Amino acid sequence: MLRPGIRSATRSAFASNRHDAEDLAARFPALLAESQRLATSLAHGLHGRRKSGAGETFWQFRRARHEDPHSAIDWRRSARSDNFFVRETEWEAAQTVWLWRDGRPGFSWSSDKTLPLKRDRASVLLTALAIALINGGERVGVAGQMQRPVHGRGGLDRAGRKLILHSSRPDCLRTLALMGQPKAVIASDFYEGADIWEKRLSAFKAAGVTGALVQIYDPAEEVFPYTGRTEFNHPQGGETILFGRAQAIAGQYQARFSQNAQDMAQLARALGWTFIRHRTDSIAAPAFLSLFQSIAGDAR
Amino acid sequence: MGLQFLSPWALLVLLSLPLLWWLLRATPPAPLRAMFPPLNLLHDLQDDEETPDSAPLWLRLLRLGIATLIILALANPVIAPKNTNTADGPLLLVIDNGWSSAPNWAQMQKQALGLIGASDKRAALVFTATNGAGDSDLRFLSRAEARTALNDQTVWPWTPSRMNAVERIMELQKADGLPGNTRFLWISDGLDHGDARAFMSALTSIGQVTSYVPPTEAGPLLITPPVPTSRGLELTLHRLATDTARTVAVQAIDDGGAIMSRIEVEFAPGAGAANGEIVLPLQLRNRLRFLQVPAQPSAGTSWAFDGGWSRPLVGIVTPGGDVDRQPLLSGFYYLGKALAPHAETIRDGLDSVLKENPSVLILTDPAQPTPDGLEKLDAFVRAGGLLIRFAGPHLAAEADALVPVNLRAGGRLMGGAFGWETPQALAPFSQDSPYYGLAEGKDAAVRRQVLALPDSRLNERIWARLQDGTPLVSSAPRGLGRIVLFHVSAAPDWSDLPLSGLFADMLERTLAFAKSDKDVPQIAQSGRWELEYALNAIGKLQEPKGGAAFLPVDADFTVLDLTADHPPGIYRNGPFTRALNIGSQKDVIKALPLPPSGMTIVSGNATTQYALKAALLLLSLFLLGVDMIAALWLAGRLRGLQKWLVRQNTIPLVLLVALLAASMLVAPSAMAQDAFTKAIKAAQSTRLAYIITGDLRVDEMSRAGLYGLSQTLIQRTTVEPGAPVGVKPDVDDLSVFSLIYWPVLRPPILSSRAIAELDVYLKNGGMLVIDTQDGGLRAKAAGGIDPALGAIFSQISVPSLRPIDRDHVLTRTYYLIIDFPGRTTGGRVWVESDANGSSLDGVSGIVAGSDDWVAAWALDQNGQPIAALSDEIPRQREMARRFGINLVMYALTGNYKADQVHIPALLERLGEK
Repeated sequence: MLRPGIRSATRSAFASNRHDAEDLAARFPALLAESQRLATSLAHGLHGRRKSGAGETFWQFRRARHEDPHSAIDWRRSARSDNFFVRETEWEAAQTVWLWRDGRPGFSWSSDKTLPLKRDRASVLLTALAIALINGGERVGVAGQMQRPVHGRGGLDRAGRKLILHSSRPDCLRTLALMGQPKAVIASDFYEGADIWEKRLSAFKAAGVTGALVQIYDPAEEVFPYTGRTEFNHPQGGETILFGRAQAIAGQYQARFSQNAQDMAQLARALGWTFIRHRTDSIAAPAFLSLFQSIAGDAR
Repeated sequence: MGLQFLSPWALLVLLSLPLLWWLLRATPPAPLRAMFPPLNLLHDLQDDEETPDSAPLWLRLLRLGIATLIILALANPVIAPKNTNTADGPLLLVIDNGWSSAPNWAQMQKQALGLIGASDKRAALVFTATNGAGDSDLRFLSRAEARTALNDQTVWPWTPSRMNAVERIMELQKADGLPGNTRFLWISDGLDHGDARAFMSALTSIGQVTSYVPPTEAGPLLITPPVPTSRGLELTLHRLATDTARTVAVQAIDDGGAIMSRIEVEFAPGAGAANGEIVLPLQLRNRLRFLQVPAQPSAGTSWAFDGGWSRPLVGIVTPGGDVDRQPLLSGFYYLGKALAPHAETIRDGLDSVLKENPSVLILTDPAQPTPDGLEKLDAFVRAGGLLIRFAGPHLAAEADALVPVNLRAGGRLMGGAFGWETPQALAPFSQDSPYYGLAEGKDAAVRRQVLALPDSRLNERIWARLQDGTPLVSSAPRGLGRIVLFHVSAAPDWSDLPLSGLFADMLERTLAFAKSDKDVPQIAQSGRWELEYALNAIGKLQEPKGGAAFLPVDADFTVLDLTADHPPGIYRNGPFTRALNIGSQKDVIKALPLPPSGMTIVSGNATTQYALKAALLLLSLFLLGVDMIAALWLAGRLRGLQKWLVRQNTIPLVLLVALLAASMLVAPSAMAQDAFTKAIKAAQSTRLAYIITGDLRVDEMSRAGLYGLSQTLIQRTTVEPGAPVGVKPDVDDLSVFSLIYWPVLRPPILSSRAIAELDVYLKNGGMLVIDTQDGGLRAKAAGGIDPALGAIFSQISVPSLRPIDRDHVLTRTYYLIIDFPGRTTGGRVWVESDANGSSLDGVSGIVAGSDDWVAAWALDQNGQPIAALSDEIPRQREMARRFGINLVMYALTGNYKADQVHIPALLERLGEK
């Protein structure tokens, strides 16, 4: 049903050729299904505001007041008595959550064929979140891909497609911060360091945006299983680093890795955001649950 | 043995090896490449080892070894036998130049020349084979003289006489002409001509000997006496057994010198003999004069045929029809066996046989001639033909004119239940009998014979008698020809004579009376054998040079020593010719015995060098491959393969494949062994058998069905079969089974051996029960005959079949039945159409149907039926069992109940009275 054309492929930051795009599209149904499964693991209902307002659900009939327009009068109810009644619906405040997932080559990687790409796992988590939110009546936007948030079934399809198939650069996060008071979920590996991310997220702090940072990382990145003479390349290309005995630096590396995670957690706390870590060889449900609670919890 | 380098300068490069070692140490192995997204976290990290990992020690050693090997190979190393001719002293060369030196004579000559040339001393030459002319006193010659003498000497087509050479050396020694530092060299042909051991020890007792032996793979070949066969002749080539295979072409030459046939004879590795068959029609065979091996022309690889080669054409008159349904009871079988080595036989009706213009006719009793035929036979004999007759019931009842003696009607029966007399053995042959000298077969008892009426010339006409003096073989000339009568039959029913070896010998002697335009060899009584054509050293027949050679008339051509006095060739005595061939001697090709101490054997040429370059380069190439794999492994490139191997559990798989391959190598002999023990086991009790189709379900049902039938038989009848046996016709011996069930669901693929086995099985009275198991569906679909049955009947010769009828014996051999049901019913059952005419005692060899009988018979181990039946008739399973019992009874007892067919008629007749 969803076929990325050549245009979307070229527009995508990294799926720079058709082959990549098709490869991605082939995974789309599986990822979407996984997201849905994840989302349904969550039992929750639409949460009303317990007062009348703009909504679809019936709340109460009340006496018509003189300021009520004629069109507001419920004639069927009024015909049963001498008074005029107005039909009120419950106020349903839809909040908007903006989602962004890293799509750069370093994120689009896994250390082993049996493990999912970090990006795919992020897509699954975010899409599942989008499904859960939209089913709950909220609105969801994909940063860098959409101008306005979407809701409802049709919106879900669009959001899911954007999340799974398309990626946008982290620059778009700046513009996101200027768009009022949304909530935001940012999924990445955050390997650029807390400094850079602090700069990126400073605008959110100014705008009062809250949300969650989801760090997704590969087991190899934490464990550092390399030994012997090893040359390390970045998936993006460019720089390489050679070690005569890779096992010798494992300890130092692991210290740096956990330091980076602590820095990011620190940053999140400073921003008032939630920081969630997820390793791709563990199951997605716990991470999803805490993510959902951190986003939807205060909306209830 | 010494190691030499042809390009020793290349060894200088070995000096660079330390440099290489240092280089290898300095060069680290290629790094493992890894993608790693958190690369910036690795910035500025320091691993504590500044120097890179160098290649492991063993890898460095391996690479150094490869380099060393290559340098050594480039230096061209050779292993050459040490030059043994370093000692000073005159040479004494013993050179074999008998027939077996012919293939290697040029090399032997060259070698001797080289040895003479290498020494600056005088040399004495002793040749082991001489023509007697050049046997001057042995003396030391100058080098030039020795060379001339060597070049003048040639190979002789007879056996070298080494002891003669030793005698001459001894004489020289006695005459004090042998200096103490003489070096003895023996250039041998590599064969033991019977005296090699004595020669070796005699020579080594004089001094230290170096012996040069030609490489065995190029050694001499020999043709041993060809054996006539029905298609032509079979010849055997001999050689010294070596590990190399060798293919040798053999040509057959006719009397005009033209090539008639050419075959390739292949020696298997390690084999000392190889067989080949030259296929020649009879007419061509009689023109065959010579066999030769063009690739190795020598006296040993040539075979000259003498006059005895021509084989007479014998016509055996048959009564027509298929007389060989039971070959062992037919006289033709014994005649054919007895005549095959000595004659060409044709078998046909009288007129057809006469057309072939045979020189001998054999008339047995079943082929009683018509009056017209008698005239023709009479004309044949009067024109010079030889007629050999055998007695029999017809001749005993009424003798015709074509007999050598007058016969008494009725014949004589000895040893019967009502007779006083015991079977008679043969009397010794008298001196004027042509059979004189043959051992009279004491075991050849005669039970019946035809008797001759006494008359004045009876005595001279009798060639062989029984112990009581009655004639066994009589003969009389008639016209230009002769009639010979055996007073017994050619089949073993009247006497044991056809079973004895004497029969063949007597027939061979009898054949000598056949007229022939060729020289049929007869034992010449007088004169002497004179060499007519001599076989020269390169295997050509030529007029004998010098004085003619003679052999006494009683010379045994197979044990003669071949010498210059009687060389190989063709000898003539009056009209007879005999060939003296090297191959007619026994044990000619025999390897030299182990040398005694004091003799050094040098195989091949003295100058043989074993170049090691190729071997070294190959080894280094192999090591390079090892290095490559090791380098890949060190770089971590083989992890995937390793994982895959572990994951797929490939090691058991590899082992399994190896095991399978090994078992396939062993299997054929094991199968043959199995077949034999299986047959022995199967023969120990009556067993029903089924043919294994390879379809497990079908085979299991066959087994269960026959098991069920066996159980039913045990319960109801006195037949108590053992467990059923599955057989494969191309492996197992079928003759021990009286009934074989054959499920045919698709056209079977039969090997030629299987077809032959099944043919023989049917001919010898076996019964095949063929079941298509489909209720006739395939036959209906094919519109008539089942395609699988058609395929079988096109391969196995079966008599014509017909649908079974209500009166067939099969319906009453045990139970009276009218149906032949199995799992289904109503299918047509086919049996041989001519039940009484077949020689199998009126029993049909084939019962073919389609109703899946085994399914109805099948019982499991608890005695419960296995298969569900169609239940088209009442008590179908019971009826099927009854049919099965009838079938087994039919197979076991034959036509025993056939007379019951007539019971209705008999009852009717009784009723009339």
